[in-house]
Amino acid sequence: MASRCDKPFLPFEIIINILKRLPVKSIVRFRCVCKEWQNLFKTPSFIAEHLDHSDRKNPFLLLHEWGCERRGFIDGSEDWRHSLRLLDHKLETIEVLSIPSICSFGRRWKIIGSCNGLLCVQVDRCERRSPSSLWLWNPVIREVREVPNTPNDRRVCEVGFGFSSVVNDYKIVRFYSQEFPKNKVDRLYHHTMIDSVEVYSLSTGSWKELKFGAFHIWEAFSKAVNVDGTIFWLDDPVVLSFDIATEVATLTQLPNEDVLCPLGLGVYEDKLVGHYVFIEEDGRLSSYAWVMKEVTSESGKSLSCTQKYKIDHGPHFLVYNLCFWRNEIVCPGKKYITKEGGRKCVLHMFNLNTNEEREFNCSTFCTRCDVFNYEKSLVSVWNN
Amino acid sequence: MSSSVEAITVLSSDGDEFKITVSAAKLSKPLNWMLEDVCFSDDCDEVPTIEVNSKTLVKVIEYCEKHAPRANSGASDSDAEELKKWDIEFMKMDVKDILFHILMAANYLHMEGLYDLACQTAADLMKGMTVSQIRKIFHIKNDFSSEEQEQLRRQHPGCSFD
Repeated sequence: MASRCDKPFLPFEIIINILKRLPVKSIVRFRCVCKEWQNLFKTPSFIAEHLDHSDRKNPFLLLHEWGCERRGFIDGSEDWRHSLRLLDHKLETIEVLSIPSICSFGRRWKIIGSCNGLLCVQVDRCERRSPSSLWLWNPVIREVREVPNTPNDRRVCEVGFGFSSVVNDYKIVRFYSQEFPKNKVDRLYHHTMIDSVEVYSLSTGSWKELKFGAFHIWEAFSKAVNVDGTIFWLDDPVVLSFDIATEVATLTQLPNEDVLCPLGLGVYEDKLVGHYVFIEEDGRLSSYAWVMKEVTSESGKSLSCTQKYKIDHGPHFLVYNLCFWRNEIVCPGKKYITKEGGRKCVLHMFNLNTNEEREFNCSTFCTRCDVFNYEKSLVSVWNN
Repeated sequence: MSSSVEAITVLSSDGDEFKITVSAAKLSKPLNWMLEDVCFSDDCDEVPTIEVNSKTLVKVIEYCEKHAPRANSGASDSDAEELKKWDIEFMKMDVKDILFHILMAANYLHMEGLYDLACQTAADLMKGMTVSQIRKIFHIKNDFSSEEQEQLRRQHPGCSFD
């Protein structure tokens, strides 16, 4: 140690204690200080300690905007423009994240999940009908890597990404169905039979197939949410969950007493929350959130729900797909700006503590957007 | 140890004498052990030495005296807020000249609060520095060969070794 860093004034143990409190940006710059520091910043224990020190209670809002810039009517080609940036609590852009110059990124891609600074991204292939590829990406330290493909050519019906502190590993999970439903009604309602599951582990760097008895779901195409080592999907009238540590998939019935199904799932104050919208008798909209907890009884697993909040006569935008961020509900939406029907993308926000509303205008090229909670980290896309 | 003793005398590594109240000394585990071990009655003339220089010890004692009432009795939110402001003012110091000495002392005296505060202050001061400024304050030599620097520049465009 002493030979590498000539005559350190402070013991290395104290230096580590200072370095783990630095922002990611400074650490990236200080990789060039000396070899000892460069190696330190790559060690899993330092990365974990650094993550523990980051301000998890105040994540940034990651805004992914995209729009089609050009459509070739003859060859069917499309040029997509994407932008990715981090917003702080004042909705000021604190960093525009550079998008990797991999050719496939020029096309359509979407974020599957965001966890400890790591993003899992699904990129559509150029050729139609060919399977999409998955990438792991830490935009802040500019690391990106394609996840190896599997020979599995079945249809992916659900995909999720998350972390479990129990096994200290990041995993991607893909649920497959054999084929499109043959029955017209089933196809219309996205009634699917899941017959296999594949799991990719970042620590082993490989996929593994898990066998399950087939089960039916109604695909809701809702965003997967990640709570405390479990990934959840809302597949009305059930919740599909996957425990990252034990690799067990479960279907859980939503409580019967509620006639309506939640509109979406979210994570609020580190708990799984179902978001419901009711139309009151006077035609106005009310919104509820229920904290959901898995309970096991004789009749199997079910979800126990307790009401978290109720917004009486809430703003109209609460019907959109949403995300909880700090004390706010964030709903990407559209707003009419011209009489001719010209629309722009906006983020509507509703503060659960103060009931205040605010709005954020997206970029002009943006026709769709997505939002995630994001905390900067040094977590590597390579096997840790 | 006599319960009537309210302050003790300690020596710095430079040989200067300092007074510290018993309640303040309790913020440090080693000082607390010293209190229990050493005879502090009037007829005992043994004065314990703390391996911290005078300039640093003044600051450490100042911190202890300020934080002792809160550590011993607990405090209201407004007190905590006031203490936070005091900490910020207290930490306005030169990195190499004194902050690093405080870090060493807090580590040696097992003072968690002061250690965390000093580490965070050092990090806040460092975050905007250039690579060469960092090397200077930590006495670090650039040990990358020119080939290695070239390779790193290719891997991470825009990285700087200065």
